[in-house]
Amino acid sequence: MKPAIVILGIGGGAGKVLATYADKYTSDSMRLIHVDTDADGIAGHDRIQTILIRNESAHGQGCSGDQNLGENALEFSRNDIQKAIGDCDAVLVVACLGRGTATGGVRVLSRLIKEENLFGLFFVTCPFSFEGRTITDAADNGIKALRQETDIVVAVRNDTLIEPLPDDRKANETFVITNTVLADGVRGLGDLLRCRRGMIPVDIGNMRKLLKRREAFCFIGTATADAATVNPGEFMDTLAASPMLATGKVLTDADAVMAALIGSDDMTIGDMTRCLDELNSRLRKRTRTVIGAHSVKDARHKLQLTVLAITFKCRSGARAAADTADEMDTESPSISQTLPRQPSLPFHEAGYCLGIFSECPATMINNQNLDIPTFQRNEVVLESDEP
Amino acid sequence: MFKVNDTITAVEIGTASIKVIMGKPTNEGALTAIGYDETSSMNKVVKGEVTNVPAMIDLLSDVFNNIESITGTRITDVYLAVTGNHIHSTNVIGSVPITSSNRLITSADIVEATRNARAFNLPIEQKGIHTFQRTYLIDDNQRASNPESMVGNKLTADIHVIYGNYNKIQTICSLVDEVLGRPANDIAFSAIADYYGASMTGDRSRGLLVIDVGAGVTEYAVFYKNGCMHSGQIAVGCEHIANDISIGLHMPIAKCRELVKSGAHFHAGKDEPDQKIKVELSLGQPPRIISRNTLKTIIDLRLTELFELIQAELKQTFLDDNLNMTKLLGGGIILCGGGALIGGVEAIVRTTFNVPVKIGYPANISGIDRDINNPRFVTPVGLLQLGHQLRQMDIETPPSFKKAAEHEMFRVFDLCRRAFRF
Repeated sequence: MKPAIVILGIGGGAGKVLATYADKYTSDSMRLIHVDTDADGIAGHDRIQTILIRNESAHGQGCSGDQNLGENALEFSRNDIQKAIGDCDAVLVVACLGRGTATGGVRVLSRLIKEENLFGLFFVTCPFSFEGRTITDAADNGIKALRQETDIVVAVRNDTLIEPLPDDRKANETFVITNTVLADGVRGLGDLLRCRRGMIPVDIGNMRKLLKRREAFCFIGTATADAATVNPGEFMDTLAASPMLATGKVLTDADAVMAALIGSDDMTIGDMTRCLDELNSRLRKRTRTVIGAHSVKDARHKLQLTVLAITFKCRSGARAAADTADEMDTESPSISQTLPRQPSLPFHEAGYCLGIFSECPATMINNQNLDIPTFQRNEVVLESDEP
Repeated sequence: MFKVNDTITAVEIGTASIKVIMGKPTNEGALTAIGYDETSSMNKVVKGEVTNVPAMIDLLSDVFNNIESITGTRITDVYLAVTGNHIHSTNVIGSVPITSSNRLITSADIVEATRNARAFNLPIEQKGIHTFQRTYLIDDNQRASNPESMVGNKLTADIHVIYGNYNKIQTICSLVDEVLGRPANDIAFSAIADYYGASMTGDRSRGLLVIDVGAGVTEYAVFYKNGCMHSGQIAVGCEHIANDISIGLHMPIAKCRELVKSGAHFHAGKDEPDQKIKVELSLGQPPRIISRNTLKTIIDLRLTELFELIQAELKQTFLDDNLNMTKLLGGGIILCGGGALIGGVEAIVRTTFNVPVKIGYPANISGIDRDINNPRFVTPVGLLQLGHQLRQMDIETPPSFKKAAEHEMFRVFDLCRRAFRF
């Protein structure tokens, strides 16, 4: 039986995440592949299939931070990668951006996935800010370039992983924790992908629409509970305490939230409804949600909830939420749409007049309605014209 | 043998009016205008988008009939301008590693890089209108307009894509289809048509910004060395200026449109700051005396804001790409559209961008009379030029019998269709 989803890590950072994943989720059936140009970075785990690129661009000693070398190296190894992923139908690419192999290579992978007509989801991390401007800028540019080529890029800032940790935590322990958090994230995204064809399928079209915008950054949280004794409130508390969601009010402030609930075959409709209702109750009214649920045999009477909280940093929260609402698919009628509504009165912006544009779609730029006369918006007092 | 009609018809459905020009190639391969017609589209088009399709079909049908009777020629090839606040643009890149042993970039690498860039997927609700080459990058740092035979590890093609909402473009295209019984041959974003219509008056090799201030929408595009570096639109135009005056001075909108066209605000000298303007109102109302200064303030504020928005957008785009905006606008700015005729607009643009500004008039076309030799007609003339160039690229060989027969069949069908109104 062919594996539906392949998790493909590229570069040294992703290798560590995959190794952590393989250790933590031993019963997981997903196939893991690690591609790297550096022999020292190859994840030495028997569950992980490794592809070490040795060619004239990268002699098995890494790319020394050169993205062009990384891209060239991946281009040379296209056939090997193609062979490795060819028999699946979705690829979850994991890359810690900033250095050569991952930053240069993800673009090649995105093209390869597109050519193979597979579903691709890119889980990328931005380096810690203490790693320096060169690396962080390279990662930012890498994400920008990747978003030009593919739609679904889940970008996470490494800084958000260590933010909730106390300062006196040992450094080596911290990096183990961050790898574990990222491995949990990989697991969660895998669950989201599995929910594409679940009982309540995750709407991939909406996922694409939400993530294709440039400044969308994501926070992933997962929680597991025993299906027999689940308490929705405590379940959500566990979720909210996930390392990436624990800083501030990430979940409540998110512009959009995607959630996947995975349970075993005996998951009841009552458990599912209570858990998802509890999740919805903890979100803002205007937060857009994409929710899926799926039952799998290997869940072992457990409920696992994965949440992807998305924030759009480029705009103010209210505006972002409004835009998100506009962009989301609104085909499914909500209760409010089906009920008769009281006709609403036209909205007049205080003190402003739109004149002939009062019934037109507004021209909004920089949060200003340009249909309102400029002199009114700039509060310029006109001199009286009559003698 | 069937005779193929070689005329080209340019159609611009604008917020204020529908403009149609018919042209044909001369024996020397140039273009001559053989007729034009214009009719008001007020209230049927808002901010460049058609809001009353049945009324617009009637208007377009009348305009087409008029121009056919003026020129005595049937309309065949139609090129249509599109605009509106649904038109957007983006810059995409595509790269290719240079794998040859000597790292020399070949023409095949250039084609491959461009192909990779063009593989960019637009959302399903969007329709691509144009793609232009911007520049090539060698190893992500060296720019080249033609990188062939240069040495590098990687070649990146940077292209500019202009696209718009599929349904809105389809709506405007369906008008021509409905009236003529066949679709337009091609569509063009107004700012791109302006480039073809008026760019001969500017130096495009040094970089040129074309701004078309229309009635409902202002379009702009930056051209540099035959590539389009950036383009966009702001759904603000002369109607906004008239609306501002109407609200500020409590006057009927029709009178305000006349005031904007007349340029009354601009004719005051510096020594007459308090000069008054007498505005005659209809239906026996007493005339209004308004301050020229007030009028000028309203207009200047709106125009300054508009051009500052364009400047900010260009600055941001070029900053992202590490490009020097002053260098890219070395050839100056060409102002087209009805807004180019507003008194004082040149000075406002010059102050905002600090580069030379010219008013763009239709260029490279003969047979135009005084009415068409106007910045308002730059877009349809540009469409003619664009259609002429596309046809020259397309028709290297004489039309085949099949094509001529198809053409004749369409013509007969069209005649019947119009005669029986089905």
